[in-house]
Amino acid sequence: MEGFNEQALAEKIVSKWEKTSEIDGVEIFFSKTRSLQATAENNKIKDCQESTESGFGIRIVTKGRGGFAYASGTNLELLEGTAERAYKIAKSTPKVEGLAIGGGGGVTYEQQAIFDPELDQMQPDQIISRTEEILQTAQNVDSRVVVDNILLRSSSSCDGIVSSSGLSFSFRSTANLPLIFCAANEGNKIGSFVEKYRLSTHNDIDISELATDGASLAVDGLKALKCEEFTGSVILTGHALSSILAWPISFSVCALNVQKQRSPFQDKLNEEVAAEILTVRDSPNLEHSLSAFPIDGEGNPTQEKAIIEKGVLKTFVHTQTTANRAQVSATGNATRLDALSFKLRSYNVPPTMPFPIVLTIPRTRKSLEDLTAEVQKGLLVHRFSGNVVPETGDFSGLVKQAYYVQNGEIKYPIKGTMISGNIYKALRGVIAVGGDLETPMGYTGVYHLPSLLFPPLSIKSQ
Amino acid sequence: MIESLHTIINKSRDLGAVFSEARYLKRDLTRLISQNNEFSEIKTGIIQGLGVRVIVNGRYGFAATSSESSLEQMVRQAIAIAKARTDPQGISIPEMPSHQESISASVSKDPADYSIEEKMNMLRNAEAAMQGKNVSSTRAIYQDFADVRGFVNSAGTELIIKDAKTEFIATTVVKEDGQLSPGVAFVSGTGGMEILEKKPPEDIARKALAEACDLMGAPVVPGGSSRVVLDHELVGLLAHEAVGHTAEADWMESGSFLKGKLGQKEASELITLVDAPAVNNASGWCIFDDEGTRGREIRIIENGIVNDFMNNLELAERLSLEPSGNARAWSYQDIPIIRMRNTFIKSGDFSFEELIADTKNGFFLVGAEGGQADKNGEFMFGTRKALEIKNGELSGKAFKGASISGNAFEVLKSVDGIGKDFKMDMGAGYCGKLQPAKVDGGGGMVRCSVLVGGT
Repeated sequence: MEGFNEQALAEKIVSKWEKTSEIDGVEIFFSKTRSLQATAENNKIKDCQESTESGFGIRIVTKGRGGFAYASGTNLELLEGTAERAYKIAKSTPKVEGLAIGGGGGVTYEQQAIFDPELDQMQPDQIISRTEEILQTAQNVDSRVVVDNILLRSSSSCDGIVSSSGLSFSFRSTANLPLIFCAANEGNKIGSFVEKYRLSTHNDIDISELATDGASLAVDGLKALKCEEFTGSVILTGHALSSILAWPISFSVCALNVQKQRSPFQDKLNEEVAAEILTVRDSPNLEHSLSAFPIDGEGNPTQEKAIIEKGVLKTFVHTQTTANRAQVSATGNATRLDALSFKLRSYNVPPTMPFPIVLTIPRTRKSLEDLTAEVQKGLLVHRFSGNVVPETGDFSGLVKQAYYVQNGEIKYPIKGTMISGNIYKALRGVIAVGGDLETPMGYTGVYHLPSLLFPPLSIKSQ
Repeated sequence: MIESLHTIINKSRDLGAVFSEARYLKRDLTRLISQNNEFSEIKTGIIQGLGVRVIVNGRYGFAATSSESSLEQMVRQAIAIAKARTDPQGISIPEMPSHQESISASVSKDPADYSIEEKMNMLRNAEAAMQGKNVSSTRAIYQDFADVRGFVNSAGTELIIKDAKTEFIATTVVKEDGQLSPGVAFVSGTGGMEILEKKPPEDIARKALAEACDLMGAPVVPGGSSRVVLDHELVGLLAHEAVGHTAEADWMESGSFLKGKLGQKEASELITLVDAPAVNNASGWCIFDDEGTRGREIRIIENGIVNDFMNNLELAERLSLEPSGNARAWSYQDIPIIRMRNTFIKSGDFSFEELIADTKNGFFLVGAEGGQADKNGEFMFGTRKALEIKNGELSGKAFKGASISGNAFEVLKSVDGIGKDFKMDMGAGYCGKLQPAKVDGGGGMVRCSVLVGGT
């Protein structure tokens, strides 16, 4: 992508508004993204598309009152009109305790950590060719493999924030998402569907390995059997943990949820909430992580920190406003996540929800095989399709790409099987942490998670 | 706007496209969130842009932009993409009637005529209705958006479509002895503030509070195979999630459960399952789709027999189906793909009391959470509450709901009773299939057998 003048326009608007006496703060988040995407369906290339989008979101705080407005496109008239809209909203709303624009100083940024020129310059013929490679590789694994869906998306963004706290910062980032969804057919039998994807800021994903893994799991699924109903230990790999564990933890440590008394962790700071072997961190500077960023959604520096350390809850995560209310320092966790469109930083979302930027669980040296060896009778689950109630921790759903384990050995793949339990209870009983790593995308961003071995959960079968 | 679309069509032709479609979308949205009587978010905004899809050398290419000054560049990108493709599949230009129409969703009370202060007061009143003993947290969300869509294609179709959605969601959390119990209720539909006049936010808020109180201290529903009666929300999810996706022609062609099953009996003869372009003010309103096809009612299953599939122009031609108008795109940046609209199970003959009375033992399941489906018919969706049925009566015992699953068509074959009251009640959420879509679902309550994933 070429450079752009959005930052200069934003500086002009902020400069104009911050001179107005009754304005406490002005913040403009701007974004320009070019996306290239190819899809395959039913064993053939389906579509290829290119889109560019630019836009900005303006937050104005006046006398403790805040308003937010956004628009796509970029020109001075549009920014001025949008700023007026934000101001009108701010004038209409009641005061919010602690409301403030963020944007402290001290930001360091290494572009190469989150920007890959190869992805920036990707062309349609290249992305089509890579999609064909995924398709061919998967089909070559076994003649029974049906590639149901492939999506390959490459994007390049210029984002930035200008605010009346003195911040004027722009950064370039790239994103790479290959995804394959496949199954295997044998006569009238369709095996379980397999979903495999990887996320990176760089063109460093081995798409052949991804395709081979997915297709192999699909063929494996043809042997799937129903298992009996029982209560047993369950190993959940990273992808399965994204909804069962990462989402409820992110929900519970969100300072806004704490302050609004809907978090089950609200009275538990410095108390034990998980097994001693479990540590959960926010690691916003992880190289090549899609969620990693030097600043949060309102311009405060993101910070490496322990959220749960050896089972003890160490911190909630804050925006500037929630930090002011709690009389603590901002933790650099304001997000602009558009969950509907799966955009990690979106100009049409105000930075009011704090979540971990990159939720991680430090790995051990134990392999997945080591964890499996500890299971007398239970399951190994790669994917979970179900629901979690974050206020209570209750979860239930179907296990996918899952295996029955007995006496420490994987016996056979399973189908038509559900697990249920309570994640906050299960956290206290985590038996082992693995050394493998998966990086799924969930409700609050991208997570970096090893497999975890949980104590017995309820297992039901059709 | 229409002039820009014609400019795109002309440019596409000049650059070698044998067929092209140009789309415009402007979405104007307002959203307010109040939590514990404090407004944590009040936002308003406009997103707009253009997209073009072309056929060159028998292949599609698509490009989109938010910048009207980049029209020519966008067309060139789409042409370049079509030319860069080397896949053997050839797209033929679909035969289609052309339409020149301007249509609008019915809106009698335009949200744009209501001030931010009026909308704030509505949320304040709703939160006031959620106050009570042990209530630790309340949240009220209001959202409206208005779409203006323009569509022009090289076959002569020219459409302007105005859509509007309004919704309100209430969440209450009750706390007792350190335990939290949430309750949720919502109202949503196509239209304006008249939707919230028919179902006032205070009533919705009271419903959320009642659910939170009912479930406080309740155990999770016992798991296992069970006979259940599904409420309207869950019937909508059954129709949409469990069955509907397998009847989308792209899924069907690539091997969904319904492939090769046209004309076969795959459900109880009580089941007639329909996808329609409009049902009263249901959220999946779609009179013309994003390929310019006029929508028609699809009877996916009629009296238990597989009857028809939802399609787009490409698949209608390939599979010799009548075009159904199911090709939808969420934003100007999205390629239209086959999506559901308003999907329901036609109501039957049973009263609610009869459905319960004929159920020896089981559960009345209430309230839908998220769901997913695989092409082989395996589905899962969440339920919020389970009321025990014992010897043909509601015993009064309430459980926290759990996810239910099964094979969609085994579940449909197990249906032996459908309620006579019809309701579309699934409209506050979105369907996800690489891009969001506003959909709705419902029908008559249904009695069937499912696997309940409780303890």
